[in-house]
Amino acid sequence: MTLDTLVVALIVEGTLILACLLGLVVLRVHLAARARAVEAGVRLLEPVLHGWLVENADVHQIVVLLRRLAPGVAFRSVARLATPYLTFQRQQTLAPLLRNETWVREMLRHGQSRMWWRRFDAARLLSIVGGDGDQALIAALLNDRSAAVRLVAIDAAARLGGQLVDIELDGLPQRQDAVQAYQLAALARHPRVVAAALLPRLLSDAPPDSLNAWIDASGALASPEALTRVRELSSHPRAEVRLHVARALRRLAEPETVPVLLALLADADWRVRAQAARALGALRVIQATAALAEAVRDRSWWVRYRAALALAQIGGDAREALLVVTRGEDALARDMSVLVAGLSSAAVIEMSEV
Amino acid sequence: MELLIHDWFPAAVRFADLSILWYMFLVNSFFALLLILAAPQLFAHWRFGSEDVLARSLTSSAVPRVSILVPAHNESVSIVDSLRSLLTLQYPYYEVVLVNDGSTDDTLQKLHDAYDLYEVPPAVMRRLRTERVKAYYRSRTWSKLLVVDKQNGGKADSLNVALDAARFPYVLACDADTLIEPDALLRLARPFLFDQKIAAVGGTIRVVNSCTVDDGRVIDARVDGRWLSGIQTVEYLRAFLFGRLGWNLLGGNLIISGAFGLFRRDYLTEILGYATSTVTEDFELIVRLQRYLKEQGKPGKVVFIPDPVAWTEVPTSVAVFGRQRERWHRGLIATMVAHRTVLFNPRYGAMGLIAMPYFLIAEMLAPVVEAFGLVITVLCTLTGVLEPRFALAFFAAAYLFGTLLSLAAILMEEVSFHRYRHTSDTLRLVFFAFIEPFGYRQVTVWFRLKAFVRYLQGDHSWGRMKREGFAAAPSGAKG
Repeated sequence: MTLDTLVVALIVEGTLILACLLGLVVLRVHLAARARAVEAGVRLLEPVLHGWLVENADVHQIVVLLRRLAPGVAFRSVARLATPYLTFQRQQTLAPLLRNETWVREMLRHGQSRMWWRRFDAARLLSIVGGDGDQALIAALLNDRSAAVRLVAIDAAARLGGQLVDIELDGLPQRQDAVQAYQLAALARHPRVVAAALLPRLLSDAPPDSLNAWIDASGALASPEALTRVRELSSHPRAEVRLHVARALRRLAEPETVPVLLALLADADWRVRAQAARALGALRVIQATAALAEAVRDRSWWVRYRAALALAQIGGDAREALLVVTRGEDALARDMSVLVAGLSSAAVIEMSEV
Repeated sequence: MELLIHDWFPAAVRFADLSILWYMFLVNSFFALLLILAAPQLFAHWRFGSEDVLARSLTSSAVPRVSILVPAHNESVSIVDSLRSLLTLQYPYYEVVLVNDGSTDDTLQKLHDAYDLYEVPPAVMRRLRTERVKAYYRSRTWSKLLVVDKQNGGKADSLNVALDAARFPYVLACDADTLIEPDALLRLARPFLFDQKIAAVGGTIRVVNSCTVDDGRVIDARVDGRWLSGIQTVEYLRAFLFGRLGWNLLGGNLIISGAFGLFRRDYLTEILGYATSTVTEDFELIVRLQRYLKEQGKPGKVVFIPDPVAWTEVPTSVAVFGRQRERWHRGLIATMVAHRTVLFNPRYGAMGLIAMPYFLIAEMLAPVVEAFGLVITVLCTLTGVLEPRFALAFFAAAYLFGTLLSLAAILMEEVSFHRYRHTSDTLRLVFFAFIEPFGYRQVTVWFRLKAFVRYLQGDHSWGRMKREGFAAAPSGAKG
């Protein structure tokens, strides 16, 4: 390495430093201007949205207002306010009015862009304004190579339902737990359509991983039709499936569910027993008191925990049964029941939920 | 004899000088690579962090359940406020497990008074060996809170107790005096929504000195005007915004800050939790975790994402700063020695061939090379062995490169998260970026060199840390 090489390095470094300093100045000015524009857009839109929600003002005011803003500002203002302000039903009213606006069409054209962030923004907008004509685009975005685009496309698909539901249900088992849960929450906005699509899938010979995901979907929907079919799977040979059945059945408050859950409370697998105890608590099954009091003495920590919480959640005689265990001879059962018996009602509900 | 020295000495010096020059060139090139790799990721995370996407995550049940582990030792002054900020995070499913690590002040009493604690039996599965637990308490007013009182055993020991008591599949380790932003946990959970198999996620630590804090929340981010904490602000930006982000694409991170990191609990339990014998338990934990994942063939990435933010106080006196840096470097040396079999070992993939060698060459040995280079260059320039113009150009190139990296980090901060709203703060950051190589670097090198000596002496102490506390909001700020 010679002096000349060092001099070249110095010149390059100096130039880059100057570029950074210049970039800082330009960014500071540009970003400040953009932030001001979006803030102004949000400030204009917020009272109009509020007027529509609270006082049933004319919804067209929103459309006219957004038309006056620059496309980027209109998009950011709507994106910022839609989720906290608009219920799903309100969004369904607003969507067809906005769908054919020039700025919306312009942004949605980016749905097939090679730049992921443009597809991401298009998916965000589709989750607010998507219509039946966008089904093909949303289906493509659901399988986008960018995980972020796929995630937002789930919301867009949830807006439309229809044939997109089949695509979502088929893709569900391949997702990670968190994405599955996100997708289930989105699907729950169309309970009837999704339940109808689930019924032919809930078969004992379906692949177990897929079956588990669909059982969870039935639970998330709380659809009686789908959950009745789920109940029939309670004697599935695979413990994993029975575990999902027990968990889902806490959403099916029917007399026929009780004996099924009591049987699952005696399952060989501790995970199934724990979920059955949790479901019996959630359904407030008073006649399960004796079985749950027995389950507080289970060899598995989780079963003891869930059974004690269930007794506290059911209340009345069940809570008395829990207090009896606190004075019993089984040290493990005693510890668990003392722990749970001391919780406030709110804490019992919160801890039972998670 | 004199002739002989005269023959080999200049050649040896030139060789040493060139070696140092090449070392600087390679290490700086690696930093430039990290910067290049970080830029597109930073942009992506900035876009992913849009408010509407975040709000949807909050309302869904998709986010993983998290237990926040908080070790506390003699935190009587701030514990109630710190805990309240942790108990009011924007996150649907979490609990806080606070471990009182044998405090000798009234930390536990303050907790009793503020949170209406009652003792519960030890109904937890004990899987890790720790100091004796004295009692478990739950709160009648905050169902999310579990307090564990134990004998003093240090931070790692407390984290292990909390790990055992945690209920949820993911745990977030944080310090009692760290301020976590309300939406930080939600942002930290984002990789789970992106279909990734995650073992650990780290977020950004920023410097809270001089920021305005109200009710445990930073309401106005400022840059401290004092040189030591000001330069550390730039240093933290550089380390987090491109240092760790770049590693996401180079085989995963080896550091998730102990003050703010989310982990899969089962993995931590399987590797027997935090090591109590090290003084940098966070670095050692990640190395051991990454190693375990490779050896067992288990899935799970260790990733860093930049937008979840936690704020921490940095030292403002040279003495405290020195103790901290010496301890960090001593922990680095100990971890590198303990896991030396991973070095250059292809069995461990990128960790063995890129990350660990990097930490050995560019981090652990850096103060030795830097000090040696400084001494030899000055000495040889004075004795005429080295041409002064060459030495000057060498120093200038090293200086400008360091400054360039700092400015790039500030630029990335401006273009993405833009937390420092005041123009005066940006100017301060730029100023500190320019003055960092004068004094601060040399002081850091000195303390890091001391770490070698203390490591060889078998020192395992933490050293005394002194904190100033947060700047409260002016009364008008509360509205």
